Amino acid sequence: MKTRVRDLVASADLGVASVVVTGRLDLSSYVDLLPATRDNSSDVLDVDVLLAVAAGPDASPYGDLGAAVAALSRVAPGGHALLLLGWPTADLASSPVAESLAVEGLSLVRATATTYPELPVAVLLTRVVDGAAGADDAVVLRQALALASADWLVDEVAYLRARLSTGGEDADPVVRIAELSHERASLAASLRSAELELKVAREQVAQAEASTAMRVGKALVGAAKNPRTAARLPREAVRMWRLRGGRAGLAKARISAGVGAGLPASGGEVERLAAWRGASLEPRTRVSVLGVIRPETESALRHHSYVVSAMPDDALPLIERADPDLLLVETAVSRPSSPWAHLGNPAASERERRLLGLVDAAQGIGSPVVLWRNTPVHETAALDDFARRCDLVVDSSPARSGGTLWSVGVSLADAVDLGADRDARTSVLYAGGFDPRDTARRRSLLVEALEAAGPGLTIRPRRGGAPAHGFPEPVRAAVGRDIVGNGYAVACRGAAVVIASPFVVPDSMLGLRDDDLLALASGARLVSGPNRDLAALSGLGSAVRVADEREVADAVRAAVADGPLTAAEHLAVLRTISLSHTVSARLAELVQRLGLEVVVGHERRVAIVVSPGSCLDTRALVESVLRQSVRPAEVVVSRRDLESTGALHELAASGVAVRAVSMADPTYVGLAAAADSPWITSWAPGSQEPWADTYLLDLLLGAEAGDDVDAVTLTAGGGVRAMTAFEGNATLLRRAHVVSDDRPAVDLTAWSRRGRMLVAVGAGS
Amino acid sequence: MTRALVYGDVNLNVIDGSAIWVQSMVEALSSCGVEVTLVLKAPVRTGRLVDPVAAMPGVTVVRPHEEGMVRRTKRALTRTQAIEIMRALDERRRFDLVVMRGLAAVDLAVADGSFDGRLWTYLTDMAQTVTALKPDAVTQLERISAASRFMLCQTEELRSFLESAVASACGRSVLWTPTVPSPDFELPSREPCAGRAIRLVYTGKFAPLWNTLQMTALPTRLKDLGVAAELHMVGDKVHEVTADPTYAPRMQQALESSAGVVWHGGMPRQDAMRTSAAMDVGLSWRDPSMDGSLELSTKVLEFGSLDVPVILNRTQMHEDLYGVDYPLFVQGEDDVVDVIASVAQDPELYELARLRCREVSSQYSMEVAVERMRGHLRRAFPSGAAAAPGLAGRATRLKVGVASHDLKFFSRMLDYLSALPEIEVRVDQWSGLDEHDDAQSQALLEWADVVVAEWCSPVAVWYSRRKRPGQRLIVRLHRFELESPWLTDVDISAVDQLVCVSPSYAQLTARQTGWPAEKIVVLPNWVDVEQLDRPKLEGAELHLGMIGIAPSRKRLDLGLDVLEAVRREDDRFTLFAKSKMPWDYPWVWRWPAERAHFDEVFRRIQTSPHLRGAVVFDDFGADVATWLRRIGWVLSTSDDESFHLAPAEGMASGAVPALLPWPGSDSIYHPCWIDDDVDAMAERILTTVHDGRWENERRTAQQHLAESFTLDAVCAAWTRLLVENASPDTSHGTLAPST
Repeated sequence: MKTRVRDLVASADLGVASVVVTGRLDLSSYVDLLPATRDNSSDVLDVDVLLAVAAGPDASPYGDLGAAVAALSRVAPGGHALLLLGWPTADLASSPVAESLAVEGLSLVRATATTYPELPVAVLLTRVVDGAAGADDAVVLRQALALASADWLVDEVAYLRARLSTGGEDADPVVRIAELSHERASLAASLRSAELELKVAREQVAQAEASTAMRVGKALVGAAKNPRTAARLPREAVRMWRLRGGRAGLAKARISAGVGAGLPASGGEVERLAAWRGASLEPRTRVSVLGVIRPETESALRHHSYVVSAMPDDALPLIERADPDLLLVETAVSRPSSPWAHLGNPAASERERRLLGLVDAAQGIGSPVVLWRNTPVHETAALDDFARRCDLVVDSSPARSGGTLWSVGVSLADAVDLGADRDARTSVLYAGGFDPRDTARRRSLLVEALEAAGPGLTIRPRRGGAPAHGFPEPVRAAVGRDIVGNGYAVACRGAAVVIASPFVVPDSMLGLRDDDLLALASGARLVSGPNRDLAALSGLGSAVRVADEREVADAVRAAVADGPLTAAEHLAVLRTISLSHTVSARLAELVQRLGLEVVVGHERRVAIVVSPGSCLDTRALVESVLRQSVRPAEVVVSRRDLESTGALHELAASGVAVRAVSMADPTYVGLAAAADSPWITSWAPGSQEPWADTYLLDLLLGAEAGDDVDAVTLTAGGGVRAMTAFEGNATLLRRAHVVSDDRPAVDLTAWSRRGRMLVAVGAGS
Repeated sequence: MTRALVYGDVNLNVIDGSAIWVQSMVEALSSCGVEVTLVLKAPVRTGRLVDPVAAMPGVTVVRPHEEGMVRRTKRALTRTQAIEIMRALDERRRFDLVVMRGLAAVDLAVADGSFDGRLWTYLTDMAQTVTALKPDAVTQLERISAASRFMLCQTEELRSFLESAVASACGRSVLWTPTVPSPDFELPSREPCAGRAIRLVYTGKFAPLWNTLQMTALPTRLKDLGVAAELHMVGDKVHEVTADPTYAPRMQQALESSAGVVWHGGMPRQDAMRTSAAMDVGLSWRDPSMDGSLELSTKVLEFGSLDVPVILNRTQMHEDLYGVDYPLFVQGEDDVVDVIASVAQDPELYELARLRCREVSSQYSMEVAVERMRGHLRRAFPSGAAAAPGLAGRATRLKVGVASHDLKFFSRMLDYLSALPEIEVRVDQWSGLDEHDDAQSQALLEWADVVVAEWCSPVAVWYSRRKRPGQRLIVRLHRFELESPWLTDVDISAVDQLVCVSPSYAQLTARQTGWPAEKIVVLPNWVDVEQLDRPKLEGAELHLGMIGIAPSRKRLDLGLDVLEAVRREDDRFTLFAKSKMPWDYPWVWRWPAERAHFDEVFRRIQTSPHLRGAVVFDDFGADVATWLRRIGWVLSTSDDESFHLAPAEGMASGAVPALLPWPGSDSIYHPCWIDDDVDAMAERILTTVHDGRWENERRTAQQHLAESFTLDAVCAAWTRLLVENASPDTSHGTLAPST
């Protein structure tokens, strides 16, 4: 996963107060969270100053390695440096970078792939206190560089593949993928070599580190040094306690009893099965999930967590490398074509044995195990015993006893078409087949619904789902091609009306289905057979028509007549979904249930920046903030504008961080720089009108409606759509841009020129 | 005549599933002409079951209590007493097979050791989930399986589960399904449901997991839908629930006073069957917690035999039996109401359900059980004379010595030969390729009429140089021996028959050695179709399989090429490799070139967009038959093979073989399974699946296999080879069928 430099620095919590940028390239805009100055002198820096420098191969525009190493000599013992590297990823691990840094006495804090094509890898370094770093540090550095390079390549290929799948005839990605594959192949040798050396070096220290006392001590010291890791301390303690043979169900006891024998042993050659899987060295700014999950679930979680999918054969090496916050197992992996196909079938019981081994390993390191049952009961009935071994069992439908309702939720970025033309949506979509498992009554109701849909009906069976060949004429004529992968969201975005699939569900399968919510989020009107959970969804009005059995045809015809959701209906739907049913919300719910002290939803955090000036009406500000259905994470205000430091205590008491910034000449951009949230919105002193309680919610759902949204504005016009130019006032801004633009005030015209994306949200008239 | 001893560890005074099982087992054996001795566990209180059993032809019922074999005549036998009595009976006159049911009793018999190799073991009281099956239980089952000739499994699911957990059960596990007796009365004719109340029936105990309380609400719920219904409930055992003391009175109350419910109370089994036969729909709707059971309800099958369609939970096992579209599957109370209303109003739907039930139950008739038993008896007690007339009428048994340093490819044949009544088999197991006990080999040499040297190795050299006049020497050559230095030391003049597994290798052997062509014959490897032919799991057509990936000449990389090519078009395809890993073979892993090959393979698997997440390494093990249930295609991409059993095993399992043209492949497999290159193979896989031809192709492959090298055919050929030469013509042409 690529990471921005500012996130890398922020997540590392280095305790630095400022940045000194040196070298040929001005990195100020990359490190935009701290006050940065350019300084090419040779003065030794204070410990709380971060030195930022770039380097590349000879004759690169960033300066060569020698110059960078010379600059790094300014870092004091215990101080830190940020090095951005401009080598081609395939060459980086075999370059002299690692050795040069080690010789200079610099050791690795963290390395990561970046979002910058020309500087694909960033390394955080620290100068060891007692002189030169050891040989081990060079090996560690080299491996870290190799892994970061590999991650960059994986993401790049994924990005290009996505372009391929949507871009049609664009040939460039094909060529580039081939090039990258070649690069990655040559990287293999470097990584293997580094791993071997590292293994030898680590064995020498492993013995000393193995004692629990030393490890507990290290964890305590680590927590003291870095408060952000303190949240992990209980888990570390649990882990160590378990490894020492603590009570009940713990890995050691289980493995010695042979329960975990199904999993290939860790260590040794089996590591080769996961050697190329990127699973470590990521900054922990988000919850880390190891998943026995489908690709679509991995894709949904990827925006909100660090997620790694485990195969049956590489699970153990992966769990050690990923050190996940939780292990998520979904029963839908038991479907054919999955690596975990037939899990729960007695004819594939070795799958379950391997899973049990994985559960042992996860629980052994203190990671809770969640079983998400999202298949019909009969498909994995044999997993009931297994469920009792998990820390939490969640179900997509409420029928199963003992489970808690949960599903992964909806991605608004997938669902919402920012360029949608409401008038162009005319079709009635049924995304499913004619399920031979359905009862005759349910099939009959479905046919009735489809026949009532009229000429706009399009039936798109789901690949791997129920077949469509059983549909009677004339409905059969509406059957189109199968929906593959993420195609359901795409299909919904083109539909005026979506007929729920399955249309009628038995009691045992009631519940809010993500597919139904996604259809609504796309702006389509939804028609469903009897479903009390869907009917109970408040505030959606006629966006959902839950038909009584006697009114199926009428309900479908009425929905078709109404057409796609109006702007107001769509906004109402998005508000409901955004509050509780997005992937981020559901993930947060899961983490909360598990009692984990990890961050979820950082990407949704908003800072309210009070524009510097006079006459701040704190009462109006507090009232507006506290009434929000989505509260901001922080309020940033110039200390000069506060009547007293206690004026905003009410906010702080409600969980909203208040940052009172002391600046000689406060500017809006300067205050924005002091915030920690990725999004900012303004509060102008003198504002008289309190915000509506949906103010921030609407802005945030606009931000989530696309992958690359830079700003959101609320408009009188209807819908959620991308704007071609920054008309009017953008009220939610990506903070990094505000800061990196390095201007005294936000210049939205310039944002327009730079191709930044503005999304407008409005309920319409 | 074959003699069987049967002990069920069940009380035959109580008519329940296990007692019916004992009766059926004895009847099936008796019908096959087996002389059966049944040992009763309990003193006879009623002759309802025992008397009919005692009246069966060739059946002796041993009543230990009545016959003074135990002191306390009122108590059922302890397991120790049972084993002692069985052993005494066996010592008096040896039994050929010993059928036992009940885990604890079987375990005791295995510990006793008297019946090792003769046990036909039937278990239902073992842990049946992975989580519940603890290591000590696995050890116990390993012990039991190793001592058993057969592990009799009630369902395919139980067989699969057992084999995948217990290595020694592999190859020994066979099906012995429940048997449903035909009703001994004429089935009543039934009026169409239209225009009258539909009659539902439940027979059995009243307990929460059987949903009997909820059932009593059905007539009222159906009435609300405008469907008239009566529910007839037969039985008098109301379960006392410790956790819910109100259950029993509530159940009792519901039976007595629910609208539309007719409670018949308890009645004899035959009367209950008569009552059921007069109803329209049977109920076997249970709590979902029972859906994972690996056992089949005899009550469900009984309804089918009475021509009464039955409502039952949708489970994987039920879907496999009744079809996914069976109209009376339910998942919850709403479904039950739904399906009853549907069949009450739709005569065609009712008829579909009725016929489906009848068809399923017919597979569990006594006739089917007898036929299955005949098969098991044939396998356990083969006849050598039937295969080789030359063995008939011998005054003494033919003495066959088998010598080898490694019998892994000959073990099944050894089992077979050992079971022939006309043959006595002894083994000279060499400790290494060239290491053995000279005295032991000399003893075998002096004893045997026929010596089989498994591998053309120093074993063959030793025996060929010492063969006695009149003795017969058969040598089996595999692959690696052709390049070995000792080949020239074999005294070929002393060898009567040199057996190769394929025409291609026979010809290569003749060319390389210059040995007389008339001595070189082909007896192919064998494939146990009966073991391998099992129902495929859903989606198997998308699952490619490879068995064995090391050394590098197995060319997993080409398998990956094929997978990449098919996934470019359809990313549902997945490759499963069942194999030891290369580092598990020291002789492979010590070579840098081998390591480099596999490192590259693993790199590709983890980094190629078409392979990532699409290749799974499954455990090496004997459970190939179970594993193949999920596999639709078996790939053979090797550079070189003498036979390559994997595609043949795949064909027997109902998978489609896909071979690249390694030398000699066309002398074993039909050309239609051999592709010119990776692209052609990928194209064939894709078009076969996408055109909906996979089902036909796999049936054709299975037919080809049946015409080529089934276990029975190869065993018969080997039996003949012990007494007569095979034709050298076998070294030419192809083993594949001509069409």
